[in-house]
Amino acid sequence: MTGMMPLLIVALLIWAGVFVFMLGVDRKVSALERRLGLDDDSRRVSAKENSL
Amino acid sequence: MTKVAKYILGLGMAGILAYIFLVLPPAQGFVAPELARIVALHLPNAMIVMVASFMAAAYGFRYLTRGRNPLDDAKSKVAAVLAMLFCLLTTVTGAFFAKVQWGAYWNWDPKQTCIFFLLLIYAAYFLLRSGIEDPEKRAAVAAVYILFAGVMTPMLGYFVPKQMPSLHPKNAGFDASYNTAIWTTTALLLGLFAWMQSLGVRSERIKLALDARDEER
Repeated sequence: MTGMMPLLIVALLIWAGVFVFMLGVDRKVSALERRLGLDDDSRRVSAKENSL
Repeated sequence: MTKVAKYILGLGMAGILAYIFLVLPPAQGFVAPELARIVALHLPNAMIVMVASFMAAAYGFRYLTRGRNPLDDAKSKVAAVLAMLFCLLTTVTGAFFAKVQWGAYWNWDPKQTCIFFLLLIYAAYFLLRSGIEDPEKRAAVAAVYILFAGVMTPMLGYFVPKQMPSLHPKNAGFDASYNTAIWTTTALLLGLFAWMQSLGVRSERIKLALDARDEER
């Protein structure tokens, strides 16, 4: 069991890297969507404006 | 995907990795029983390839049959990218398994040969896309091609290698806990796939919006 420890640490480091990268991309995409008015809040507002 | 779901995914994946490497018992009947636990990462990746290829084909079909919506083409493309990514992960984890159990990273076993062809099929899809300039024509040709890839994925990933003698173990000595590990990892990878797919589609939507703005100017 302890022989697997180095492999587990490598696997966890790889996963942590992927996870942090995904969170970073998610944040950037959200920021771009907000800037372009493509996020859910902006769409809800424009739908309301259209209905008025 | 909500923030909570993302953190559950992050912690869940760390937990299942700890379970695979520390709790799973060694599988009997292998040259290196301790390292047979790679299977618990290899098989779920292969299952996600199937899901991604079906999704790519489904959106391709939708593009062709429901009003040629560019967003359907984008969704199909993103799913195809993910099918190729998980196909590569399946190949890499499989190569490590092959090295420790059969002595070489690559043995031209029927399953390895088939996954190689599958990688070529997806690589050809992206070549095809990059070779056509007109967006509508590109989307239509890509949609037809991805339907073909969607049929070939289960054929090459499951049915064809099953008919041939293979190094891949058929009645391996896996403990029942391997099933738990494999299905839990598959569920978590499905979550990761859904997150990646939604991110990819959102960035494609941004690209489409920017293109539309450029055309307006």
